Amino acid sequence: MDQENDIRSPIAPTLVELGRAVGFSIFVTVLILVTLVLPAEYGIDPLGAGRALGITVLAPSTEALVPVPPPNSAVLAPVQEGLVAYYPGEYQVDSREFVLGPYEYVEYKYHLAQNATMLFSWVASGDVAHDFHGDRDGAPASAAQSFDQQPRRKADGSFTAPFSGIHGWYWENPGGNTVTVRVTTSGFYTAAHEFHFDGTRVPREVRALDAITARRD
Amino acid sequence: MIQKIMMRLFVMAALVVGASNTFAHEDYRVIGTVMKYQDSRIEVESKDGNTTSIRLDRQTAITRDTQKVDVTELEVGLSVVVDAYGDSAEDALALEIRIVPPIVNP
Repeated sequence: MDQENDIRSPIAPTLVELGRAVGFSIFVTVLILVTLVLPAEYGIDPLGAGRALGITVLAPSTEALVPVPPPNSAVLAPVQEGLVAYYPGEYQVDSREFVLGPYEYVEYKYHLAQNATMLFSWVASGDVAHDFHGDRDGAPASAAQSFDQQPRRKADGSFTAPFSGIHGWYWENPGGNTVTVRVTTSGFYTAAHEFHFDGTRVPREVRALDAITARRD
Repeated sequence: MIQKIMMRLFVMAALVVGASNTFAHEDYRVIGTVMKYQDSRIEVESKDGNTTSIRLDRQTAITRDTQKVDVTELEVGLSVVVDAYGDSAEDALALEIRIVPPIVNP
């Protein structure tokens, strides 16, 4: 009889217990994600735990997966003095032409410090889909912030970077004919990166204005 | 007690897998002509002569003129634009395959 009384129905956990269990699970999950999964799977190691455990070597070595690192050179961050912004480096200029075959796309972006300014002008020989956007330093491309996607064949303007990172354009040829995009920029950026539709990326040199005027002399 | 631990481990595993999958791989586009379609893989020859083999799954959208079409519409010789993601183009999974008018290489 006593044995029969011992057979009890399970006690359902209270909401507080459930919440505590879920909270604990989420905490441990984030810990595992940040210390083990991200370093080993993607080479992203925000806490340095992956390097300490020696598991970052497991991450795929495909360079394309790694966000574009900030440039090694001095960051051209403006120093505001009243209405004037001064920069600790030279004014840069750049000009590129991209020939987009049918359905091809290209991204071209410059590294700008927060509040740094750039002037730009681009024109396409045909219809293009475009997206003027930026990626924060160290953030994955999927976290990009879009600034302008209005349909246009040309644009002239100025841009002040809302955050430090790479900022620039995505141009896509939506049709079967070849389209040429020509872009000219100037401003206080330190590096340029070209991203192709096949997943490859190419760093491009930008030039100081002095380099151009000196060549003319 | 064991049930509780198992449940916690299950929730953690589900969260880890889910969270890690949200970190995007690289996007690729392959443009060219279908050379082969077999066993959930499509081989596409691009204009530079390279052939890329890309995986398909049930989520892969096949479209023509922005309309979804059946996978059986994929035929050798068609011009396609494949948007895929993965660690590399060879390892990529096709997200969308657009059947486009014949591409005339310049």
